[in-house]
Amino acid sequence: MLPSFTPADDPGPDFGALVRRVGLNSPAGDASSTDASLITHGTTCIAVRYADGVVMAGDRRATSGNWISHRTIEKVFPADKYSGVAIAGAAGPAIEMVRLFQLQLEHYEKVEGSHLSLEGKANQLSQMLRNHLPAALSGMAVVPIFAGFDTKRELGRLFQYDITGGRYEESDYAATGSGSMHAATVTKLGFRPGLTRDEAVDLVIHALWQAADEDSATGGPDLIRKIFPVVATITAQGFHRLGDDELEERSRALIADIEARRGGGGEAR
Amino acid sequence: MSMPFYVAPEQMMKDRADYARKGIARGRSLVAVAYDEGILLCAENPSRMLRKISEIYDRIGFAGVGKYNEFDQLRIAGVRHADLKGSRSAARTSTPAASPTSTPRSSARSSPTR
Repeated sequence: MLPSFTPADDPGPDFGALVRRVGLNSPAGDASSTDASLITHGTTCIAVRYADGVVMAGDRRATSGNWISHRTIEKVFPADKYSGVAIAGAAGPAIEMVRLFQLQLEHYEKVEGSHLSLEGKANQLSQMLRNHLPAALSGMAVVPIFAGFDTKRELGRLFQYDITGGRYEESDYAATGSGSMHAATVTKLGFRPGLTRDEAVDLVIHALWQAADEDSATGGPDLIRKIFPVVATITAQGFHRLGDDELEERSRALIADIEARRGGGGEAR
Repeated sequence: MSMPFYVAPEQMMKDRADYARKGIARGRSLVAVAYDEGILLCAENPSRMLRKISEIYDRIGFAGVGKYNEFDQLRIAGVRHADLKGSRSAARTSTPAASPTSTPRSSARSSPTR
């Protein structure tokens, strides 16, 4: 049976409203707070603006309390061709939110026959976060970063959020997750307007390295298992995820650089 | 209370069919052809705003002639049905999330004037 509605209660191009309208709403968390050690959490993500657009990066670790529950989780996703979303917080609801967000953008595009503006997409995510607030208050908070290439203004833009759906546009960089303080500080020190792609990619890899060095919930590059952060650029050419070969080369260069700065010695501080 | 005119059910069905047939007869031609790699839809479309051919889902297309608002409502209902069903089963062949290295599906989508 095809879903059809009277004009008064037609959900329009809003997929979330359609899901609610047909009664498939996902259950919101109840008020009793959940034991944090039972929920898988994703951690540090960072996004930086550079000359051609935005670079987004996220480490690969997921934790449940003090356990490492997953070593290769992905926290940076394409939202559509010209935008991406990176998530920190309760992994289950966060990945579900990303999936719904991707669907929502696509659904809008199919129903309306045109793209939402980058601003419009950022607002959609904001609305989804507001709907998620009851679950966030019971311990399943999700805090994303949304970044994309604004095809009208022809520049990269980034948006930071809070659990209430507050949407804040950042001009230079944005970070989220437990290691965000360290990652943001490294980025802040290394940032200047008009970074090249290579400089921006090296900067986010360094930022995640330092976050992993200080925060136990953030994972660094794993040279034994060949696990590297997810790094993606979003430019006028669209969303592009970097290959592991490039990331391995850059991670090794960073490690060599850090070693050299310590005088080549591996002795304890 | 006024009494409606009595219309035989057969007549009513015939009137409806005629109504639909007239609308479609006035529409411009549209063809769908199966070929070795898939299906080709081709329609003559003089409008920049209205679409005759559009996407329902990954590998489902839609094309229609007749009264625009009528087949557009059918199209939207189809998009809703497919997206709702797809969101529950993840039966899609190329989700952006599942294959982040490839370009998202929307890249293949045409501009609003299809």
